Amino acid sequence: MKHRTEMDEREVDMRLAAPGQIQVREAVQALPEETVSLAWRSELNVRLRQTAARKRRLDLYGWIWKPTAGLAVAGALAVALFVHPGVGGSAGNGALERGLVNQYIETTTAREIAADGMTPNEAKDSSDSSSNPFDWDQEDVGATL
Amino acid sequence: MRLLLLVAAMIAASSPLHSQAQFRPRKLIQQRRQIRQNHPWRIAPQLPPALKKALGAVGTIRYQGTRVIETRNGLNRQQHTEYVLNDGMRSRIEFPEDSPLHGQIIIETASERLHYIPGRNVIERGPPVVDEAYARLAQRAANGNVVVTEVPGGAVANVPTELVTLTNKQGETLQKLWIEPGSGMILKRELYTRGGVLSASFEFTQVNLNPRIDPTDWNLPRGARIVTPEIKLVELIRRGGFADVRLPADSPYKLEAARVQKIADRQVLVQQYAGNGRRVVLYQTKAAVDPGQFVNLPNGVRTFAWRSGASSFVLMGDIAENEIQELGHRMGG
Repeated sequence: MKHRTEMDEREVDMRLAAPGQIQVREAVQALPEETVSLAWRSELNVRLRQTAARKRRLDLYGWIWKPTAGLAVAGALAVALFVHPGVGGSAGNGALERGLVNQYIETTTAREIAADGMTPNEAKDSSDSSSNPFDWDQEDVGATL
Repeated sequence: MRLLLLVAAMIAASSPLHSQAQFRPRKLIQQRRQIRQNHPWRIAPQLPPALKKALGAVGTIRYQGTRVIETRNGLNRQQHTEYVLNDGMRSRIEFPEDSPLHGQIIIETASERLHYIPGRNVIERGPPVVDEAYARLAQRAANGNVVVTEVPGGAVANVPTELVTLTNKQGETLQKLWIEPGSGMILKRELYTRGGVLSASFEFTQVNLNPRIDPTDWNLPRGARIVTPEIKLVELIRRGGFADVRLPADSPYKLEAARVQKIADRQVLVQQYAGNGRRVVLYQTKAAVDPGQFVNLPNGVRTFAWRSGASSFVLMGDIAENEIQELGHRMGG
């Protein structure tokens, strides 16, 4: 048994010392030695960290911009529903125009009846302000009697 | 001889006074006639005698009295009482002690109207306004479409009157006047709307047609600050962010008052002008105004509306169509 084992070893050595084997060994030894690089993994980590930070920022400001956007949408809807383009904020039902005509008629009638006396508008203007509606100063008014 | 010299000296000394005393009433009559002629109205010859007398007496009549004025704002009627002293073109108005207006004084002359407001120690100075009331009356009475009648009117303030009534062709009463026929003083007046509703009135509850008037009756407290409608307008424009648009200075209409008023829930700058017995009002607001809404306006009222920048303007007045348009164009309309 021991003899057989010695025979196998000798045969193996002989085969390894064959010129073909030697040629292969030399070729393998001549190959450049390469080390394993983990740079790609490092880059991936950096990218993951940046993405996570951006997401955290977005989550932080979400409570501001989400209601703001909601309000903006609601406002736009209200404008679209209640303000008619081309009317520029007018009630559009003639109330303002009727109000102007009534104001004209009432003040004209009041002046005609009061003559040199006091009209309701004058009475209102003068008693509205036990305090002055305007903070006149001497420069404003120019003169005194 | 000495006695004769003394008498001659006395006559010589007194002659300038004598001639002056004779000249004064004539000068006064001339002045009053001139004032009458300067009124911006014509007294139509077909008018009843009491109304002719009333229109002719403006600027010469003297009286002192207590007058109750009532005006209507929507369906709300409001009253106030005034004490009035009048001497020709001058008048002084005060208010009873129980009135919220007590302490205020209005003095009007041929050239200005002074309104003293004690709470602010201010005198608001504007153009006189009394002529407008009589000019409108004269214009309306002279209108061919108006029927004017005169009948005895009973007593007002214990004074006998003539009642002058103006009606339109449909028989609707436009206004009534109770006139003291001797002096031409209008003791009571009522104005009605087109539908026959009483819109405004005044009535004297006491009157003295021969008052004693002292020169100091035309005085106002000294030291009060003078505020004109122009000063007020500039301040309102500045504070309210309104556009500085106003009637041209060479127009016959003078600024009488400026105020910011809420009309149909809108802030409106109101500029009131008057002249030649006409009234022109310029309205300015940020809201849009539809000129198509100004139709079938009463009492010959005309409008001219335009929009400039962020503001709407409406010029309104009882003046001719071409005149209101010209004024509007000159202001940028």
